[in-house]
Amino acid sequence: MDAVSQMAKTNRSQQATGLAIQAQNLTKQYGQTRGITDLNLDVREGEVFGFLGPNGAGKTTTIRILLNLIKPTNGQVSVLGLDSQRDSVEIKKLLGYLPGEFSFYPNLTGARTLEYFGNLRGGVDWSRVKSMAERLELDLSRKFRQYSRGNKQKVGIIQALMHRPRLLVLDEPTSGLDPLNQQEFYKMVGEARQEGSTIFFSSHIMSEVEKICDRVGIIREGQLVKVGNIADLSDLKSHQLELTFAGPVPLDVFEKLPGVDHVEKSLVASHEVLHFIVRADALDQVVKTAANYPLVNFISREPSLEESFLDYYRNDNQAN
Amino acid sequence: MLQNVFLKTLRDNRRQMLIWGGGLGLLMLVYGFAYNSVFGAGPNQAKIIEDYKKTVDSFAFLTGKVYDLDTFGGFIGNRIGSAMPVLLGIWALLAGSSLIRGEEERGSLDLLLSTPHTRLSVLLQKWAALVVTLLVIVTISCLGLIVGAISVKVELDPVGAVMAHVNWAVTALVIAGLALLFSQLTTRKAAAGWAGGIMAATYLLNNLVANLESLQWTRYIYPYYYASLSQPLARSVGTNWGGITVLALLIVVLVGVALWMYQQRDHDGFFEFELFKSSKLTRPRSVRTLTEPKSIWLSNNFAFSLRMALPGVLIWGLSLSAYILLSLAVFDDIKASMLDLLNNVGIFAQLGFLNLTSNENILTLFVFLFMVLLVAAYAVVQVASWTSEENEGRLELVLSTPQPRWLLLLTNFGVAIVSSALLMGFIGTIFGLSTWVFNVPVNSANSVAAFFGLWIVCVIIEAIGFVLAAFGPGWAVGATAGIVIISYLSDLLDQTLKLPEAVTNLSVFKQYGRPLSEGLHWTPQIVMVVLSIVFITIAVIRFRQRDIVK
Repeated sequence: MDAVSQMAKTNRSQQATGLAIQAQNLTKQYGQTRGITDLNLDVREGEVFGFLGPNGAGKTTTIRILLNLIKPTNGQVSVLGLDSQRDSVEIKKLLGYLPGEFSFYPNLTGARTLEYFGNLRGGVDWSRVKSMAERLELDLSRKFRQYSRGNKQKVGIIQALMHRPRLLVLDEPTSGLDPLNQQEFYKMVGEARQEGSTIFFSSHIMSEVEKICDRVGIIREGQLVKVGNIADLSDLKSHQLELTFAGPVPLDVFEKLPGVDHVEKSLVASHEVLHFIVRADALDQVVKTAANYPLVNFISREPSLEESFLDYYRNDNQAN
Repeated sequence: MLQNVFLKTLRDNRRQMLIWGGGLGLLMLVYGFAYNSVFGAGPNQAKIIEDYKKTVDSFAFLTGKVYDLDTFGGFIGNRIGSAMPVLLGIWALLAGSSLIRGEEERGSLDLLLSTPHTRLSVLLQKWAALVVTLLVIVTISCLGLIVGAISVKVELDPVGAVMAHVNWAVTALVIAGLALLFSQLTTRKAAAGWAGGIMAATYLLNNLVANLESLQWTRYIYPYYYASLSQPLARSVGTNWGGITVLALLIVVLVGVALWMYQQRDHDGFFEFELFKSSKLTRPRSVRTLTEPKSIWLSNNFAFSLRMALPGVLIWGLSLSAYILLSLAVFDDIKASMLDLLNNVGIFAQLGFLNLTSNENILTLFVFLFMVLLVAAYAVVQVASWTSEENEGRLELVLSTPQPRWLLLLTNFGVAIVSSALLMGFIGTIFGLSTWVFNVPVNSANSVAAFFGLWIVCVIIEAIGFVLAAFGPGWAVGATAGIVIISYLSDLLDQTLKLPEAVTNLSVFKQYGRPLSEGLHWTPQIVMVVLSIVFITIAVIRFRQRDIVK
C-alpha cells in the first residue's frame, strides 16, 4: 500500500468518538464590532450539519475559528477531539476546507494547483483527483486565471475533498456551480458521508440543506438560535392553511390565537375563505377553534424549509 | 471620497501620501540644518566650499553632474537630488504595477468593470489618482524644503524648489508608466520586478556613461538622462523644458501603449503579441491534462515559493550585471578621470569620501555605493511578495493544510534570503568574471565580503519587513520602504548632520560600510544577523497569535 493510501486510511481509521466539533461559549469580537457571541455548538461525527444564517450572521467567523485562522476572544473549540488552537496542525491533517472566497496562483494550471496543495498535505491519490475532475467536467490544463467562477469553485471543491478528509468544512460550496454540477457535488458529499466523513457546511440554499443535511443550526446576529434535525424542527416548520366556511367567521378569533400569522379573509362563491400561517405547535388549537364554525374545506400545505426560514427571521425581526 | 474610481483610488492611497510625503518632507526639513552645519559661517567657510565643489564635481560619474554647490539649492541638488529618482522610483514601480493588475489579482476589478465604465475610463481615472498621489507626496516634500530653508535663513529659490520636485515627479511617472505597461504583459509581482530592474540599470548606466565619449549616445535611451538635463535648484542651469517635455511624452506613450494593451487583452489575462498568438496551438476544450504534473517545484512550500521568486532574481540580476559589466569595461577611462582628485585626499576624508588611489575604492564608489540601495529595494520587493500572499487571500487556503504557521513564515523568510543569496551570487560571479576579463585586479577576499555584506543588508531588511508584516500585512511594505529610505539618508547625512553616533549606527547602510576597500567589519554583520533572528522570532510569535486577514 502506498503512502497516500495509507494516509487516507489513517484519516478514516480513527473511529467516531462522538463529536466532530464542539464549541463552548465561543465569542469573537472585532474591536467594537460583533462577530459571534457565546456560541455553543455540537456537531456529531459522521453527520452532515448545515449551518444557516443570513449574511453577516457569523457563519464565516465561526468557520475561520474552527480552522484557527482567527482566534476567539473567548471560549473554546475542539475539532475531532483536538483543541482548535493547540492542535491546529493535527486537525488540518484530518480536515478539508473550502472557503467562501478564495484565490489561487493565477498562472498555475488547475492540475499544478492541486498537485501543490496535495503535496502540502503529504501527497494525494492522483487517480482520485482525476476522477473528481472528470465528474465535475473540469479541464485541469487551464490556468487558474482562465477559469470561470464555477470552474474556480470546482478546483476549490477538489482540493477540499481529494485527500478523503475526516471532517469537511465547506463555506457555501455550491456557489457558482451550475445545477448539473451541483447534483454531482451532492453525490460527492453523500459518498464522503458514506465513507464516514463529517460534513459541516454553511449555505443559503434551503433546498440543498433539506436534501443533504441531517441536522441544521441557525445563527443570527452572532448567536446560535436553533439547532435540530431537519425533520424535527417543528417550531421552525409552519403550515399554510386555507379554511373554507359555509357562514361568516370572525377574523379576530383566529388572529388572537398564539402562533398564527398573516390572517386574510376572502369571499369565494358565497363562502368565506381564511388564509393564514400557523406554527406546527399551534395547529391543534387552530383546528379546535375552526371546529366551532361551519367548516366545509380544510387545506394544509407544508412550506419548504426556505419559506419557513424566511418566515422565522421575519417574525423574529418583528418581535424585536 | 467614494463617488467615482478616481476618488476611491485616491482614498486608497491616503496612507502612502502620509508615509512617503511625510517622510520626504521631514527629510527636506532637516537639510536646512545640515547645510548650516557644513557650510555655516566660520573661518574656513570659503575653503570648505571650494574643497566640497572639487570633490562632488569629481563624482559626477556616480551621481550625475552637479552645479552651484555654493548655494543651498546646489547643495540639495547634490545631496538628495541624485537619490530622489530612485526613492520616488521605488514608490512608482510598486504603484504602477498594482494600478490595474493589483485589483485584478485581488478579484475586485471585474466587479468594477461591471459598472457602466469603460476600461479606458477606469485606467485613466486610476492613473489620474496615481498622479495626484505623487503630486501630494512631492508637494509635502517641497514644503519641507522651503520651510527648512526659511527656518535656518538660507536663500532658496522657491520656484526652483517647485520645479525640482516637478522634474522628480515626472521621472517617477515614467517608472510608474513602465510598470503599468509591464503589468499588461505579466503578473503584478513580475511587472514590479521588471520595472525595478530596468530602473536600476538605466539609473546607474546614465551616470556612468555621462563622461565616456564612446558610450554617450546610449544616454538618449535612458529616462534619467532627460531628468538630469533639468537642475532647477541650481540657478546656473535651471529647468530644461525640453527634457521635461521628452519625459512627459514618454509618459503619454507608456500609458497609451498600456491602455491599448489593456483594451486588447482579456480580463485576468495577459496581452499577447500577434506573432506569438499565431504560433500557438489551439486545443479543443475537451482536451484535459489529467496526468499528474510531477515537478520538484510543487513538492513543498519552500520549493514552490522559490520558483515564484526566480524570475525576479533573473531580471534584477541581469540589470545589475549589465551595470557591473559596463563599469568594468570602461574602468580605465574612469580611473584616468579621477587623477585630479588625488590632491584632495584630506577633504575627502572629512566629507566621508574615499581615497581614490586603488581599484577597490573606485569600484566602491561606482558599483557598491548605489548598488546597496538597489539591493535594499530588492529586499523590499521580497517583503511585498510575502504580504501579498495574505493580502490577496491565498494564505487562507495554504493554512488550511497541515502547515504550522511558524514553519510557513520561516519557509517564506527562507525563500526571501535564499533568493537574495542567489541574486548576490549571480552578480558577484559576474563581478568576479568581469574583473578578470577586463583586467581590473581587486582584492578577492574583499570582493566576496562586499557581496556577502550586500546579502546581510537584504537579510536584515527582510527580517524587519517580516516582523512588521506579522503585525500588519497591509502597511508593512510601506513602513519597510520608509525605514530603508531613512536608513539610507541617515548614512548619507552622517558627516553632514553630525547626528549622534548611536543614531547613525542604526543605519544598515552605514554598517555595510565599504567592504571592497576596507573589508567587512564583522561585528556589525554578526549584530545584524542576531537582530534578524530576534526579529524573525518576534514575527513568528506574533504571526502565530494573530488573525489572518481575509
